[in-house]
Parts: sequence; C-alpha cells; structure tokens
Amino acid sequence: MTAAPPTPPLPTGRPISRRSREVKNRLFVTVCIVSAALSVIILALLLAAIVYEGREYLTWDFLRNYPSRKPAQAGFKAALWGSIWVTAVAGVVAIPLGIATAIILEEFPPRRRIPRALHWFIQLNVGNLAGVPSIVYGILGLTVFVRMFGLFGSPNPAIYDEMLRIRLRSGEVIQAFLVESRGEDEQGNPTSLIVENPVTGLRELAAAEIADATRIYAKQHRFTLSDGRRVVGGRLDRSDDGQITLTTDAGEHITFPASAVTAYRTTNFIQVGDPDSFFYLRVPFGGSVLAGGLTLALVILPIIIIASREAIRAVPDSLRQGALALGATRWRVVWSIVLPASLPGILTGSILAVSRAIGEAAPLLVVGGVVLITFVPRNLMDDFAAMPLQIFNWAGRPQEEFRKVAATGILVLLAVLLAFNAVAIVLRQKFSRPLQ
Amino acid sequence: MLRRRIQRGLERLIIGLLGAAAVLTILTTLGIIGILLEETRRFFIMPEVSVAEFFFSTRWEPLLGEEKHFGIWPLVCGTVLVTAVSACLALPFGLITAIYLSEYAPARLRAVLKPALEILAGIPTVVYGYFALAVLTPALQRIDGSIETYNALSAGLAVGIMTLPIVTSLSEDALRAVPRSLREGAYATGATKFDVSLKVVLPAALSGVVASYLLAIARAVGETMIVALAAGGLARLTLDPRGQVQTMTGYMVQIFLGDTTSGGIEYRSSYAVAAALFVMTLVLTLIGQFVLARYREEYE
Repeated sequence: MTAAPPTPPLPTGRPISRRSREVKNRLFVTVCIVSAALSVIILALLLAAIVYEGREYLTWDFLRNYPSRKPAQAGFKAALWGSIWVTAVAGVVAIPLGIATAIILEEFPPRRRIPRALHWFIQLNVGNLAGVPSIVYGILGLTVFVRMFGLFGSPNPAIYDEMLRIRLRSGEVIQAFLVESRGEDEQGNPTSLIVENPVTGLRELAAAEIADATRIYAKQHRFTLSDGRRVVGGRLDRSDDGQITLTTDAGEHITFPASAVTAYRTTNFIQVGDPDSFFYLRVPFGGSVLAGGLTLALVILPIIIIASREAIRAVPDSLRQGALALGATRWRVVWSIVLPASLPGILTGSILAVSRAIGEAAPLLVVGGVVLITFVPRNLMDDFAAMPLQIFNWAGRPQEEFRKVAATGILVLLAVLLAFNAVAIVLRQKFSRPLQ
Repeated sequence: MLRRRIQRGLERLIIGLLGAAAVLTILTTLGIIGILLEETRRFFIMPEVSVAEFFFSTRWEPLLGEEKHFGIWPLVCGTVLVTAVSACLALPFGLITAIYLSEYAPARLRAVLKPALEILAGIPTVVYGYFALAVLTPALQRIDGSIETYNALSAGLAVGIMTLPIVTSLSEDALRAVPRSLREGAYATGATKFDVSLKVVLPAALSGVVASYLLAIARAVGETMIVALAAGGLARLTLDPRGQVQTMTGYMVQIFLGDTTSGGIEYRSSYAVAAALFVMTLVLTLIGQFVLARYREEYE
C-alpha cells in the first residue's frame, strides 16, 4: 500500500518529500508500539505486584477464616460468601429486567406519538444511567431499600434504635442495645459483649454463652408502668441512674425510672418469619444482603440493557420476517426466534455485568456492607461483608502486613472474576452459530 | 375464536410487563434526582450553610474546628486535578493505541493486545486503588522525594489506567467504522499509512473519539475507590499533584464510612456533594451521547 507512485505536491503548504513522510510514518509506528506496549506492561506489572505481595497469605485457611485483627489469621470467608449472596440477588433481579427492557426497546417500537417520545426518552435515559457514578446508586439504595423513605420508621426516619436480639445457649432470648464488645480471642473476635436492656440494665455475656445474635430495628418501645400508664415512643435513652427517657411520636420526652416498669416490649419493623430462618424478611431492609443486592442490580441494569440490545439487534431481520410471514405474532417471533438467536450475546453481556457487580465496592459501602463480620449470611436480611469492601478495608490500614492480606484478597477476587469470564467465553463459543 | 382472544390478551399482558420493566429505568433516574434534590434542600435550609457559601467559598472544613465551612471548590479542585492527571495518561495513549489497533497492528499483536485491554477494563477499581497506594506511590516517591504518601498524582495515574481501555475500545470502534473507501482514496493519492490514519481516518471518526474522551472523563470524575484509597482526605484548593487532595467522591466515602450521625450537617453535606457530582457526570455523558448519536447517523 505504501509503495504508491509519487504524486504532485498537495495544493497547500510546502511540498513534503516522500522520504520525510516515510520517516514520519516509521516514527509514528514506534510511538504506537510503545503506547500499545504500555497497557500490556502495566497489566503485567499490576499482576506481578499483586502475586508477589499476596503469595504469603494465600492458603486454604485464608478462605476458611473470618476477618481478624491479626494479619496471619485474617480470612476471606465472610467476604467471599457475602459477595456470592449479594451478586446472586443482583443477577437474579437485573438480568430479567434488563432483557425485558432491551426487548421492548428493540422489538416493539411504538407508532403513536406519546409512546414514541417515551421510547426515545428511555433510550437516552439508559445511556445516562450507565454513566452515573456507582456511589450515587449507593445513595439511591440507602434511601429506597435500606430506609424505605422512612415510611415504616421511627419519628426520625434517619435514625433507628438498633438493637441486638441475642439467643443464649440456655434458650433465653434477650433484646438489648450493644454497649461494648470486650476482649479478643485467637481470631480477634470479642470474648464477651456488654449489652443493655432498658429495664434490666447492663449485663455481660460471655461469647461462649451466645448461640447467635441478630441486628433488629426497634420501631417503637412500649412500656407499662406500675401506676398503670402505658408509654409508647420511638426513641429511647437510659441514664446511669436508671431513668428512662422516651421520645414519643409527638416529639415530647417522658422520663420515668426503670424500676417502675412492669412490662416492656418493642414493635420491630414489619417482619415475616423467624430471624434465624432462611425465608426471614422485614421492612425496611436495613443494611442487608437484599438491600445490597438490589442496589447492585440498579448499577448493572443499564449494562445488561445495552449488551442485550446489541445482541438482539444483531439478529438478522430475515429471520423475523420469515416467522411473521408464517403467521406468528410479534411476541411469538421474539420468544421463539429472536431470543434463542441472541441468547449467547445476552448471556455474555449479563455475565460481564455480573462480574462488574462482584467488583463494585462504592455502592455497598454506602448501603452499609460491614467489614468485621464473622458469619456467612443465612437469609436475605442478614448483614454482609463483600470481597471488594474487605480489600478496601485491608488496603487502607497502616500496617504493612495488612497490605499483603489485601493483595491475597485481590488474588481471590481476580480468580473469581477470571472463572466468570471463562464461562462467558465458553458460552460465546458454544452457542454462537452463523445466522444467515 | 376464544382461544385466540385469550392468547392475544396474554400477549398484551406480557408486552405490558416488558414495558413496566422499561419504565423502571425512568423511575431509577427520577429516584436519584428526587432524593438528591430533597436532601440537598434539607442541607441548604440548615442555618449553618448558605447557597452562596457553597458555591463561592473556597474553604471546605465540615469536620474540623469550631466554625464549619462548606465551600465546594476545594473538592471540585481535587476531582479536577485527579481527572486531569488521568486524562493526560488515558486520552493520548488510549487514542494512539486505538489507532494502532485499527490501522497498523498485525493480527498476532491484536490477539495479545485486545485481551490485555479487556482484562484491564474488567479489573475492579478497588484493585487499582491498591495498585496506586502500594506500587505507584512508592515508585513515584523514589523518583521525587517530595511526593506524599497520599497524593493526587498516583491516584490520577491509576484512574488513567482504569479509563485507558474505555478510550481505546470506543475510539477503535469509531475508527473501524470509517468506510474503507476513504482510506483507499487517500492511498491512491500516494499517502503513507501515517497520513491516512491521522489526516483521513481520525478526522472522519473524530466525533466517536470525542465521545470516548467525554465518557472516560465522566468515569474518572465519578471514580470512588481509587481516590478513597490513594488520594488522601484533606480538601485543599491546589493544583500541585504531589500532595494529598480530597475529591467529591472521596468526601462521600469519608462521610458514609464515618461515625457522623445521619441527621447531622456533615452527613447532609454529602448529599449536596453527590448532587453536584451527579450534575457533572450527567452533563458529560449527555454531551457524549449527543456526539455519539451524530457520528452514528453519518455511517449507518
């Protein structure tokens, strides 16, 4: 191509000799190669640094242990399982919604004016949503899912009385505020908890006594006093001398001594099932697996829509027209022709989107993913840790040793992502067949 | 007859459900805008702040001291500084790599480069944050001793590495969409590959390249975990990338991680910052989409 015959000089400017142009070309190729090599070098450097730093703590115990204050015992179990739960929720919610939106946008273009404007607006909007910073989605999730606009909340929607529902090995169930956790065992977990029940006061519970503990949110505190009064309020304070101050829904403060209380119970947020069971649900969701998963679903929804639209658009029109000519309805065409043909593309896009969800930290940070967690979620309402959040926490600590633990965490995270992408590639190759 | 009617009704129902899913995307946008507006309003009606201070004061001191100051410019400055550093890396190198991939690269090199870029694009941002903090900063400190542990430079470079694949892949798409006839016409006049790439193909694909730049910048502005790890936590009005800065997203992380009470003024201020961030990225993506739509019209 470059061996074209000499041409007359360009009409403007000085004539440029063929040689100088060739030199320029060669120079540019060098610049190109250097620039292109840069990204490969950076990738190699990044991976090498992480493997070098992270190799020390990469053992099976790392996957089996819970986080600890001691680097050598710090583990990834809670984060790994938390990520699996949250990502599963995000995928289950976002993939059907994304495909549905893509079908409407591609296969059912409206003819009348108002739906057409809506159609155009949704298209524009999906592009914009893809550009919204993920931390902003976190704020949306915090208001909508974690707090549910305070619709079910206490007088001050932003503040709940967060309590612990602790089941002891003796079978006793205590509902109390957490005051302090004391001591530190081998794993860095507290050896005892000091809790405070508004009526019975402080109590120390050894870790060995506790069967399990769940966070609950008290919506209202109800007291029956010895003089027969019943007092109901949303916020509670207990002073050291045993006086209880309750803020009622009307905003007034009522003070009475704890010794005058004959009965106390709380109304918690609307809940279904036992907090220990698999199907436990409550509103608002609080900083739970469900809230985190739904927030991540919003983050990846535009990505799935865009990828699915591309896949659907790639299905040749002749297939649609053939089916229509045989008398199929439009939905029938979509269901039996378009979707099967575009499935590999949709699946690939969905898997890439889900792997984005696995790596997202910012929205979960806002929604309230917790880092020091020593259990695997049992249901959608449990608190959770997540891999990227745990890595963020470790990397941000001043101790050099925790940097290494962070690198080990990154190795696990990257391995999970690699597995996901491998599945995407296999799917793409297995299902993709020529369509014409 | 009846069966057909039921079938038709069912199909209408399905299409209605699909439409409802599509409307959800609009609800998401409305939700974001509504929440940010409401919380920002609640922030501004607090007696300690005023709209004028927010937009015209140059001090952002929400947590320290007796008197709190809420002038957003130091945070905007931090964001702009980090974004500028990232742009210096991602925009030129991303474009040159795209030109190389589209015009020059032999198939064997492409087979190495494309996956490398795809992997770079798929790496979670918190990993880049770790890279900036644990690898880039110590390396830069060896070159220049005046660089602090937390600094805008290494955070910006990491953000640049993160956005580089975005520039490359979108620009390459734009360059490849330029019709072959344009290139062949230029070659016929005796142009070298360099002339063709830079004087024919690039101008023809310019709108796509510009769109890729805008989208990459929008991503850099909204990037959170890298700056939260590597840029530091001190809001300063400075253009010196060697010291620590706080970006808008960095401030939000500080607030949401911290122990500030949820009704407090610091907490509310993070919503005002989020609103400003949302507007910035929205403008960038809107222009990007507009430019991209125009470019699509030209060649399809």
